[in-house]
Amino acid sequence: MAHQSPNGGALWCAAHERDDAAWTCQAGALHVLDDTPENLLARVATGDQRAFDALYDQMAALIYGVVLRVLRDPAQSEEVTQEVFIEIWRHAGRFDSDRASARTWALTIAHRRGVDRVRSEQASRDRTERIAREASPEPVPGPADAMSRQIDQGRAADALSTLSAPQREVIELAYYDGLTHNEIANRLRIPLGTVKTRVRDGLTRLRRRVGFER
Amino acid sequence: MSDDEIRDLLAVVALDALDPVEQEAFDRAIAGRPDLLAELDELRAVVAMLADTEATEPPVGLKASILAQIAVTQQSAIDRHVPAHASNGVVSPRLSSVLVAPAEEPNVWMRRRWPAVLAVAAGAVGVIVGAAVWIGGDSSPDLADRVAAVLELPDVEPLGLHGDMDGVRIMHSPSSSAAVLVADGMPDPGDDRDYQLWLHHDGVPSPADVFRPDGGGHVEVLLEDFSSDGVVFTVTVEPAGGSEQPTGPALVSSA
Repeated sequence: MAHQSPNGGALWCAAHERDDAAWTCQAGALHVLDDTPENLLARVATGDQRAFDALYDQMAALIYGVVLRVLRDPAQSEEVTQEVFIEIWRHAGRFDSDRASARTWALTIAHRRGVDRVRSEQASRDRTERIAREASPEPVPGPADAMSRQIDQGRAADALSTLSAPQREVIELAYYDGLTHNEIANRLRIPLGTVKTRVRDGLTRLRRRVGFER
Repeated sequence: MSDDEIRDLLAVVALDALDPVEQEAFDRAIAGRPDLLAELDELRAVVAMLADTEATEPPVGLKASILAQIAVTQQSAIDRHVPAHASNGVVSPRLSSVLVAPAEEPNVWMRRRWPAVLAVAAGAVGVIVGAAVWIGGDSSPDLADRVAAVLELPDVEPLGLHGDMDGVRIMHSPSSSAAVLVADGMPDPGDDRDYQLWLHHDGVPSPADVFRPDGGGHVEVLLEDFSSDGVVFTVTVEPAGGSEQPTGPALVSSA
């Protein structure tokens, strides 16, 4: 269920605005007016560095976490996270709340930059070696918003658990490991068409689970 | 690419799982198709949820480093905010399939981790003008206007400078706590070195800005919101990215 933001755009609300029982927003929740990522981003677009500071606090763990998951290397992940935030700063004026929530917009940038980096030759080689050496790092939730973050993680995991094992596998290889659909087909030795079908059916199921069905 | 083919790829695109060549073809195909773009946007929102399981506190120094860098990074002037009501809920046809602009030219400067120490600049907000080579090619008329505005302030005056660099001038307005460093014919500091501007208060230096001249040796540095009272400016050459304390001799000093 999309929540109507104050400026009319569909907004996928931040963690603390979600109803505990389902993936819905509480329209009457606090924080809706001032410090939503959307409002902060609008202020960032005008050059407001304080708003950027607050936006960093809200988004940094998510952005760093997803980049780290894709790259698996803390030093490179720190660099890419820096690039992502600089990009957010530079292009905040391009954010269009009619198309996406600020959270989705920022995480889209983060994931894209993560896979951009992982697909560059050097990073890819390093990463292959690293994966061979060690398991992926465990996320370490920080103190801030740890409670709501745990709830979020539980929900995301819950949504993922509704997928069939083959659907979940292709989605995780694409999102968390940054593989292209061709790479996934090669890795799993299945036809490309099968990868596309599993990805599509899996996201459709996730969308239904979290209430994005139109 | 037919509609069915585009639709077939939407989920793959939402997961960033196309290779660059395929992505380009997809972008061309979906351009001007607001209905399909809207579907893609919905899928991206679903995909963004997957980040929730990975939330991880970033290293402690990262925030200061990023805040220091945005303080000296121009914002893109294009595609300024379109008011939400302007599009009446319909996805504007100018939008591309990506919420994200294509990766910019590889930019060594952008990739460099700025030392967190630059955040210590005690409220000095520096903005580099004229050195578009390292800011990523944005030429911002706003910034040029701001520089011009400082140079027109009634109490702005050139500081007397000592040192070896003849082409450097610093115009200072004490009442507005604003200053502009303008340099012509400034030598390239070398690939692994940068110029750094320092503000000294009571003999204590604080880092204000790291900069490089453009290919013609020209650079303008705008400084705002610093404490003008008794301030002394110096410029040194430092290892790339700047230093916490000046390590080189002052090439220019207003003392």
